[in-house]
Amino acid sequence: MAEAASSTIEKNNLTLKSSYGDEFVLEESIAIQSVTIKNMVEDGCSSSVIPLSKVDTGTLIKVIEYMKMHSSTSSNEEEIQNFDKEFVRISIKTILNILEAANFLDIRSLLDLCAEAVANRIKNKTPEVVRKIFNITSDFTPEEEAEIRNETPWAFEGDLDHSLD
Amino acid sequence: MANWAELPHELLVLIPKRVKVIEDFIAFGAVCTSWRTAATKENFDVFSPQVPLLMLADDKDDDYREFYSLSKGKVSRILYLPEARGRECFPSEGWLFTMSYYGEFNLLHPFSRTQIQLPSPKALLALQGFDEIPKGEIYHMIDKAVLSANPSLTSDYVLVISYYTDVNHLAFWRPGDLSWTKFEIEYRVGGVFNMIYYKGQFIFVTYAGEVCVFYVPGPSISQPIVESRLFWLDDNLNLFRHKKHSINFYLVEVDDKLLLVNRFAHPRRERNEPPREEGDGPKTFKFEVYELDVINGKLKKINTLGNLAVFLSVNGASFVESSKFTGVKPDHIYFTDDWREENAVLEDGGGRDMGAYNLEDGNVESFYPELSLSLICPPTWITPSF
Repeated sequence: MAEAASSTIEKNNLTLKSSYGDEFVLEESIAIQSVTIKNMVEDGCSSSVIPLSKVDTGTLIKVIEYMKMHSSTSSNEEEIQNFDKEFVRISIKTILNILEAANFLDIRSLLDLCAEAVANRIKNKTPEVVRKIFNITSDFTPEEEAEIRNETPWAFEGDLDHSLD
Repeated sequence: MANWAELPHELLVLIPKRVKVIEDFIAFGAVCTSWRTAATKENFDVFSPQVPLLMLADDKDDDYREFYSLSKGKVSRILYLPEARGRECFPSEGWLFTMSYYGEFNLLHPFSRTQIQLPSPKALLALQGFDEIPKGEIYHMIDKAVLSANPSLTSDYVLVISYYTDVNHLAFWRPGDLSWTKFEIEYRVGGVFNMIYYKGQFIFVTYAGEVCVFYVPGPSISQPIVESRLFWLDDNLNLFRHKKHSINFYLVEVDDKLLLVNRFAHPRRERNEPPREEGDGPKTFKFEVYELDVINGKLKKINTLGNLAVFLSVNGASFVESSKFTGVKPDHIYFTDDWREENAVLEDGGGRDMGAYNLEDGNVESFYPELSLSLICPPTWITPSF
């Protein structure tokens, strides 16, 4: 897991600072899975603390956990697959935070993992159920809604699957 | 505070790109306006396999057509489709070959209502010097209409039809062709029972149990067509000695292999028998599946389809991996009422002999709770696409 900041920063370590001000020390070779961080390192910003103003502490801990696993040389493909599967067993709100962090940090594989997890959550569900899961309010005009209702009568029925996993 | 409706578009589009089932994709686009803008058809993977929808019979007096979804367990689409009204429809590659008697032939994409006009039935008959279809052959002039590829994805495709005038004939059309090109297969005895485009060639089985192959060359070459009869099924199977049964054959490609599905029903009917009682059509009781080795003319019996579910339609067959979809059972054969000859003598047509056959224990279950009947176009499977 994330290590506490230390005053004696080793040469190939970076310090990442969350939006709450918490600092995490991470090996540079792990951190540069983030293209954003990689660019900062190449631009010579690595000597000081890297502020990630758009990533809160909880999200940053998850992202670091992900990067550590995916740079580990000791884990095989199956272990990584299982890790990914468990990693996205989290609330839809947490997925949203990680998705936005992965976008900001530019970690393509994490972005894909989150998008895939979201796609899986809407399988065989009606739009009504999807709205409940994602806490979205329909903003269609009555005309638009009538058009969708006409062609896909099931789309506005909520009786198909009420499970909100 | 971030929320799902206000996700930047470039992030949001990552999600529909991973939604592989077309009904889920439509649901995604029906959530809110920002999600709708991300659920454009360009973001859908056209090559991801889909469970076919059951296009119900044309039994209501209007221009709408209902499509029943196994995954939803209900009618999932009601489409305004006057182009299919009162017409025979042959599904192939997600399109319908439609025919109105003495009128026209078209290719119709039912989900977008795109049409491709084909040379007319008159032009087809003129190839034999006929002005009209000979009397007594009014029903089922078209037997099969098979595409080599999906016209939504390429303009390099061939449409082959098997049709009756005096006897069974074959003809093909390619985009840009001004008329049909009629051709014959030497030594062929029976009419075409089922046809498939497989590894660059068309393969068909005849009523007499012959397996034949032909190839339609590119647009610059009108002839010749490489053609041959490969072998007789009866060299391997005693299919025609059970005179009490009706038999249908289907060809389906599964992972590069060619499968032959034989369907058996009670009772056996002879062609042009007098009209029978309502509900007196054939009733399916058994299926057999064989792997067809077209090069060596060998058949190998297959006892299980594993995770696969096979869908048989009047014009062909398809399959899906059942584990990837809701409401589809593994090792089952989903069949519709394809007894066109036999149903033509029933007052309200076909649509009764439908079900899901469990290849493991031989039981038949119903998959559609109601009755949808038609003389012209009974329920049939069509693969949904944009």
